[in-house]
Amino acid sequence: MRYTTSREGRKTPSRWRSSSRARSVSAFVIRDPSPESSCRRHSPVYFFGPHTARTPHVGVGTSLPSSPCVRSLFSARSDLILNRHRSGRVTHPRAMAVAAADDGLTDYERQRLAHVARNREYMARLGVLDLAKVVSSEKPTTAPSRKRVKREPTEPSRRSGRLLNVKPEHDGSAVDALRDDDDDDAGERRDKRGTGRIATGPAGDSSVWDSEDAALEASRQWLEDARALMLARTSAVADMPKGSRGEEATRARWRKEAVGRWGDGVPAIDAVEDWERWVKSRVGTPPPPSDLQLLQEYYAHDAWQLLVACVLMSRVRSSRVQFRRRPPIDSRPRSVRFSSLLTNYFRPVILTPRAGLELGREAQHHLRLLRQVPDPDARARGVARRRPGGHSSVGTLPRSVPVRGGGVDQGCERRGRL
Amino acid sequence: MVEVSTKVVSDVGDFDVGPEPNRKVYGVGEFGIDSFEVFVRGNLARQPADKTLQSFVAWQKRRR
Repeated sequence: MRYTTSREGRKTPSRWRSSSRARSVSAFVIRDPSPESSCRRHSPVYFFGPHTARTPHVGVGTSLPSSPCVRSLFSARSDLILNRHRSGRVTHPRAMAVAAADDGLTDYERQRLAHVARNREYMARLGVLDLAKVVSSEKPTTAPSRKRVKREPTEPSRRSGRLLNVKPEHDGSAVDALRDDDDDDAGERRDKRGTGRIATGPAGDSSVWDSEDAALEASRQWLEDARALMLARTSAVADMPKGSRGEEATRARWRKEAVGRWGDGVPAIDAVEDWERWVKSRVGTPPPPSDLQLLQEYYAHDAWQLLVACVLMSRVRSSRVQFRRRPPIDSRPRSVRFSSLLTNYFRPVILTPRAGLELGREAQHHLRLLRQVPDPDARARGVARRRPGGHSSVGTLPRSVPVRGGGVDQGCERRGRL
Repeated sequence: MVEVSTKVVSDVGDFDVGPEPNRKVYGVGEFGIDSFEVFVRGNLARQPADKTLQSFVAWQKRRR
């Protein structure tokens, strides 16, 4: 610790000199000269200074640690001060009073009492005590505290509109009116729900029914008719009584049925032992149609078509694959949507797997292009722009995209959003 | 699609699709197999993994 020398040649800590208190009492600082105060760091310093509002004229350093050596010095403080008073070194009467009061109080308590007595004397000299008597005799100006009156509840604070059969303020129509461009199918479902009319007709049928049962019945009827048409040729052969023709003729007719369905790439007539089982294992026995309008229901009559549909469904977003009425491909915009590949895949022109094999090679070329594009829509268009900071392998594809039939679709539309 | 078409056309036996190696068709996964069993074979006892197929099977069972 750094010490500075006072006017009297006493050393005081530097931190005391930095404060106004230390400066005001520096001339009155007395360091305990007793031999017990060998601990200079813990040596108490008694100061007697001018009587001001901020500076005590008697006291001890405020930051004295409570070490044993300090306590011992404190206990000897009264005698010290008294002796100094008797020797003429300390002449203040309040210090004498503090020193003379030996009533069993601790030094700190005596110091505090001295401090209080000094303040009271100071206030008495200023006339504050007389003024306080005058003020205390007056009536209190504070208003009496108001008692809070508890109100009795007249009606329930919370009411249930559902229990009161109150029509809800918001029924969701406002939310339903907000169409989400990213989910057209969801918007269509909301419209159906909002209008109370159901348009779940078969593909290409824009009929609207007033009830779910009517829509279900129409859908069921359409699917049954479609399946009946698909199975008509098979049924005509299957219902043919056994033995009406020869065994070879029956096999020939079943193989002819297979060729009609799947093309002339089917095995030779002698390669298959039972042509009837061969055909029937590839023809579906689907469950009754539902109102879910799943894509598989439309191709359930043929295992090959159903599996191809499932393979393609895993390549694109389902909302784009849903069977819907579309204009002929020639009159459509030049952008080639991938869903059209599926929608037109099973048209009568390309109905057989053999023709599908030809288209499959073309489709493989499509898929090779589509795998390079991260977005299904962009895949469907066959066009994508490279994203900023995107993968280097995702580049801009040529605007000419091969289309079915060997042509090339030039200038596909580009959309700003990937 | 090429694999499916080849299997349908060139296989001389009964056509079937499944996860087993002898019935496996390249490119047809669990969804395709479940769809084949439900829609082609009409097997409503099957429990497909796809949510839509589950809805279809549940709907068919309710309408029975």
